[in-house]
Amino acid sequence: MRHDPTDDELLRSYLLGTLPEEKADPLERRLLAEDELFELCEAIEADLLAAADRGELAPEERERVLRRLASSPQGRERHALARSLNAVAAAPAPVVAFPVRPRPSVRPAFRWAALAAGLLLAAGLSWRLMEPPHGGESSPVIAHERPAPAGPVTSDLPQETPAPPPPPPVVAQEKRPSTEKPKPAKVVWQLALMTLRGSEPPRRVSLPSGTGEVELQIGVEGMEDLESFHLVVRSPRGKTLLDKKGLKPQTLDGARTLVVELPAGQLSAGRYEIEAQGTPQDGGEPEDLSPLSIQVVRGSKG
Amino acid sequence: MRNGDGDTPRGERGQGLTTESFDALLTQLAPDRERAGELYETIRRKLVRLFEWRGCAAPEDLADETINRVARRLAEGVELRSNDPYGYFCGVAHLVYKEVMRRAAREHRALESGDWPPPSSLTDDEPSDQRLDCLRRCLQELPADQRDLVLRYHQGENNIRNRQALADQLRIPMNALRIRIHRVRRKLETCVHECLSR
Repeated sequence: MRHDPTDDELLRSYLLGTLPEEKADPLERRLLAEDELFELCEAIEADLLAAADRGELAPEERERVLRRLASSPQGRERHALARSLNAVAAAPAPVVAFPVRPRPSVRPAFRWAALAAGLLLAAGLSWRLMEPPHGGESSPVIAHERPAPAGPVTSDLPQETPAPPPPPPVVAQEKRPSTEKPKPAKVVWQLALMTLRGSEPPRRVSLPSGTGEVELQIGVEGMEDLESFHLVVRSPRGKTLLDKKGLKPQTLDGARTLVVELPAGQLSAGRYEIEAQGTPQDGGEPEDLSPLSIQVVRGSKG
Repeated sequence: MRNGDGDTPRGERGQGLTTESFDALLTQLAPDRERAGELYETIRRKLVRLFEWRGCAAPEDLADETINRVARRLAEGVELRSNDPYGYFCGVAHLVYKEVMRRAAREHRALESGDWPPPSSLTDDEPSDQRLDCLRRCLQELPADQRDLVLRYHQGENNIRNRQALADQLRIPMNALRIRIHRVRRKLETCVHECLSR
């Protein structure tokens, strides 16, 4: 069976409870009769639950999803699985997908008024993405291929032996020398200053047990008129963990990126705030950037 | 088969499935008994999900109630239309649902009202360590390509773009990717459930 391209939207509306009854009835009849459509509906349901957990839905949509799709015991189980998958998938080694902001067309003071974080951590893979221009709800994204970090990136998946942590579940493990001496594990969290989307829920990042150091890579693409940055990282209790002025962006695979390191020992589970200021090239007044929040999740020992 | 309680409409509660009506149901579903049994299971599973998708808290009970009513009508001589055997189930399911809604309204439990308290899963609690450990173990049991695929599918921000890139890479349409992922997730769901039950 081939899906009508409109099935996606139809099913999404149905699951959100916004489809009029006169359309829901025939759709349910089709769902009973067409196995593949039914399976697609289940798949979209799972996607909605995962999106709700990642804060990708509008508040009212999120509420609808949770009320309609997570109200039964089975629904709660599915929701729990979606949350767990999001958490585990966020943990392993990085793939870079730095958002590139369009050149601002508004005054700088407003340009920084709202700033959202983009985070993408991935499982030892790199790929290149280019999104075509679209309706303007978010900025286009370019992901840059990036070599693996110098230190081994810890996997959030359990390992069968206490050997040095191999990369997450992906490729070419046999190419790593088996006699390689374990290095202190480093986790890279990749964040990006993105579009003017207002306040967002904190991005979830995982800190596997045994991590020695966390490297924050914060993309600042599209901010070429800012020469240096002032970053402050605050713990859930408001303690200043890092206060660094005059940070110059590095160019990592063509993307302007701020790189700072934090000892993992300073980080416990909870919500951290990253405050940022940018200083223009002309030496003007530093511009306040909206704070960036991350939710640190401690992983269990691998 | 359960008679159903909880959300089950009052009108026919307690009128379970007799051997006669169950036989009538199977006979009309398919001439082959085994095939009829499979169809029965499929229809029941789908009805459960339909009631879930409508936000019902006891979807299994309502699915059973629907099937019971259909089976009784068939035992009374009603015939399923061969070109649309599911239509009858759907019609009865809608009646059952509407009865539930009317009852809920009478009891001032507006299922769809905006001020209904969210379910407990609305809380922002992190998944338990035990659940995460189980999931990690279950992921390890998957073939590497499936594990990689499902993790990449759930990774990070810009999810739509990531998924489109995945679909492009696999040279399959987005919906085919969704279904492929969903099948892996179903395996994980079963595995995690078993792991947590140990």
